[in-house]
This record gives sequence, structure tokens and C-alpha cells, in this order.
Amino acid sequence: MTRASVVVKNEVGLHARPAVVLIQTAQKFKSEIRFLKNAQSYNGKSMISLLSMGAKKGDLLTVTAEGEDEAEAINTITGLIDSFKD
Amino acid sequence: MAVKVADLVKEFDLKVYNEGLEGAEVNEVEINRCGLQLSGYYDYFEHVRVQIIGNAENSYLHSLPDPERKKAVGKLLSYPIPCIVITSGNTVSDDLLKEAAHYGRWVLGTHKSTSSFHVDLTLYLQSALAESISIHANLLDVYGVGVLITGQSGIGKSETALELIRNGHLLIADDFVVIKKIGADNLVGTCSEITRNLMEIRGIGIIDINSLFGLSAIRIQKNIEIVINLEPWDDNAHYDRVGSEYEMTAYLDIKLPYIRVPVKPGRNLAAIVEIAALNYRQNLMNGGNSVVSKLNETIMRLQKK
Repeated sequence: MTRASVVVKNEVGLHARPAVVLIQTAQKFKSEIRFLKNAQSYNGKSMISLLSMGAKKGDLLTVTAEGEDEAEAINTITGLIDSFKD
Repeated sequence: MAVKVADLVKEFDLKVYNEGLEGAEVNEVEINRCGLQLSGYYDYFEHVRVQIIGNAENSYLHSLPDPERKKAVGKLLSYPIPCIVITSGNTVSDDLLKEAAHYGRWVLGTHKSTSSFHVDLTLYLQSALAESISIHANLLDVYGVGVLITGQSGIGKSETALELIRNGHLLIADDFVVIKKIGADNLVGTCSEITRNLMEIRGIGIIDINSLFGLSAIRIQKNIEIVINLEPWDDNAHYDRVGSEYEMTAYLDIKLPYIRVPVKPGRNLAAIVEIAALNYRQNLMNGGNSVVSKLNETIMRLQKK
């Protein structure tokens, strides 16, 4: 399993639109992708789960991936969250 | 998990006689009536609990001469207690307030009687301090049975849940279930506040069950009683063909019956979940699987002939 931490920087956090982009990206990977926030775990490929997290600006998330393409998945996902602007 | 005293004030609409330290929090479900301590006995004193002064403690304090009362409350408040709650709308003595201000302890008041406040606070703390996990699953109330539907992404959990809702069953949570351990052997599932009543159906998007089906289709929380795991059909796997006893799984160390349901095109999963729930209820009410024992009895009877 590979893991990395990332801080949400964009103003609205992981709301509906950024969440859609995030899910579409996560689904391209075979690995199981999870987000951890405040000791709760969220499924990176489920819209409802991701929205339930309610990640807002300044929140620290841990991303974990498990599977054949886990390293690439982590890099892409954390890079994407880092790149969200508004 | 911990509950801030300031949150208790809001939750129970308590009167604040003295504002204590801002970070003061409650970590214990149990509550202490501090009569023994006020009378000077401090062995086994659980100072981390919420301390209650009811009618009896209050009248005892009033019966004391001034210097002794001052000494009694001073000693109690010197312990790092989270807060004192004075019940039944009783008034607070100046000594108590002075000592509370000195040590920075919360002194709160309620109009409720001691026993009714005790029950309400215990129930609240039990839930707020409960051990909890979140899992990827769906939770429904099917014929009154709390059914947790698990299985890998894309196997059809949400579609099965939707079909069950259409059949008149109730949705608690889609895709993200928060499980809390309440008491020694009770698991309660609920959803996240943000996605309450929402479901995602691939190809349609996010739907609001409350506005589509109304209040009769949703529940806020439910005890989890059985787990149904949807699995891809595997011709070599062993599936239960008789159902004489349940395989078990566990969440937060609490065991639950675990039913594996293989998924194949053409299988009506909603009907299978309904039957699993009904069957569970029947077993529960008859104290065991009556179908299998009846079958055994019939076979034995026929063999004797």
C-alpha cells in the first residue's frame, strides 16, 4: 500500500465539481483508493463517500492506494488535489 | 472522541453559573452524584466524570455551617472535574461559585430532575463517545431488520438498495455508513450529514430519496442486525445451500450474521435481500432455524417407518 498526505488548498474544498473530476480520475486506476480524514476512511471511487467527507480548505487528507498501479495513482491524485484552484 | 463541556451546555440548554476552562471535556459515559465526596469521603472518587448535585446533595450543603460548606465544596472543586451540574433548578451557593471561579471549573444548572437528566445525559454521552468506524456499504431497514449491504465497487449495492426502496423499505445510508458501538453489543449505523437521503445511481447521478419517495422511505439511524455481502458469481465457490447456521463477521468486535449472495444477471437481488431479512426474523422469533430442524424431523420420522 502506498500513502501520501495532501492539504486541500482551493477555496470551496472538495465540492461537487472538483469531486467529479477526482472520481473520474480515481476510476481510471485499478488500485483501491481511499481518503483518510480525522481517522475516518472514505472510498475514493464513490461520489457519495467523497462528498460525505466534506473536505474544506485547509483540511489535511491522507490518500492511500492498494493495487498494481498504486504509485502512479497516488501521484496523480495528490497532484490533482494540489492543482485545484477555486 | 471527547465532548466539550461547552457543547453539553448547548445540547442540554444548561444555565452557566460559572464558565470554566475552555478546553474542558468529558471522556466518560458514567456520571457521579457527589454526595459522598461532599461529606468528605474521597476513596474511589471518579473525578473525570460529570458531577451532579441533586436535591439531596443540595439540602446537605445547606445544612452545613458556613465554614464547613466552604471546605466541602473547596475540596471537591480542587479536583480536575469536567463540570458540576446542579439539577431540579436549585440555586447555587456563593461558596461554590467562588471556589469554582478560583479553580476554573464549570458550574451548570438544569431544571430537569436528577434522574431524568441522568438518563438523558447518559444516552447522549453513550452516542457521542461511542467508538466509531466508517465503511463502504449501504444500510437499509428491511421489514424492520437493519441490513448492511457490502461488496466491491460496481457490484450493484446502490441498485439493489434502490429496488428495495421502491418496494417500500427504508434507506439509512448509501455507499458511506458510519457505524457506532453503543453499549456492549449494539451497532448503530447512520449516514454522513452532508449526504443524508442522497444516493448515487451510475448513469443518472445523485438522487434525493426524500424528495422522490418521501419521508416514508428514509430513516436517520438503525441497529445493524445482518450483513449481506454481494459477490461475483464463482462456480467453484461454496455457497450456503441449506442455511442451518450463519457465517459470522465482526465490526468493532461485535459479531453479526454474514450472508454471501452471489450475483448473476437475472437474479433479483432485492427479493433475495428481503427473504434474507425475513428469514433472519423468523429464526430470531423461533429461536433457531425452524426450516432446517423441521426438515430434519421429517426425514427422521420417515426413516423410522
